[in-house]
Amino acid sequence: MCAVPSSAHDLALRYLLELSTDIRGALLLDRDGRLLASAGHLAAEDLASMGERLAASARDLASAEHAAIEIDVHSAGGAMFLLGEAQHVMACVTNRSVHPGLIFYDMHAVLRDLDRAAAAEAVRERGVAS
Amino acid sequence: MRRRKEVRRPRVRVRVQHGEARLLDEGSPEAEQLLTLARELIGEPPQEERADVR
Repeated sequence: MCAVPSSAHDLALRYLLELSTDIRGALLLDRDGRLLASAGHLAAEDLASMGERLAASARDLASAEHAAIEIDVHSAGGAMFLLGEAQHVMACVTNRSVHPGLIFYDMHAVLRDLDRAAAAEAVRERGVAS
Repeated sequence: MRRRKEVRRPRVRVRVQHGEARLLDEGSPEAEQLLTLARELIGEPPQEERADVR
C-alpha cells in the first residue's frame, strides 16, 4: 500500500514536467508495476498494461530485488527513460536531443520528494494513532 | 546549417545500482522488448513499418 495520497503522485509527475520542458509525458508505478499516475502526452493506449511490462523489464534487468536501476532507450522518434528505486518506478518520454544525466537528475529529485512525503505521512499517522 | 549525416541507431543503456552503464546488445531480447515499449510510449511506428530508418 502507498503511504502518500494519490494526489501526491499526480502532483509529482506534474512537477517533473515543469522541471524539464523536454519531458513530454511520464508514468509513475509502484515497484510491482501498478499504475499510480500519468501526466502529459503518452502515445500508448493501455497505460496499466504498459506499466506492468515496464516494471517487469526493469525487474528482469536489475541484479537484485528492488535494486535501483536506470534505463534509457533512444529510438528514431524520441527517448524513454526509466528509473526504478525501492518503492517506485518512473518512466518518461522526451525528444532525442536531451542529456540523459539531466533527465535522470530530475527524475531522482522527484522520487526523493515522494519518499520524503511518504516518510512525513507515516510520522503524521503514527502521531494520530498515539 | 550543414549537419553531419549521422546514423542514428536505436540504443538501450542500463545502469544498475552504482555500477557502470552498459549498452545492451543490439537485437538482444531485452533490448528489443524495451525498444518496443519505448516506441509504444513515444508513438513511433514499429520499425518494420518505417522505410526511412537508416
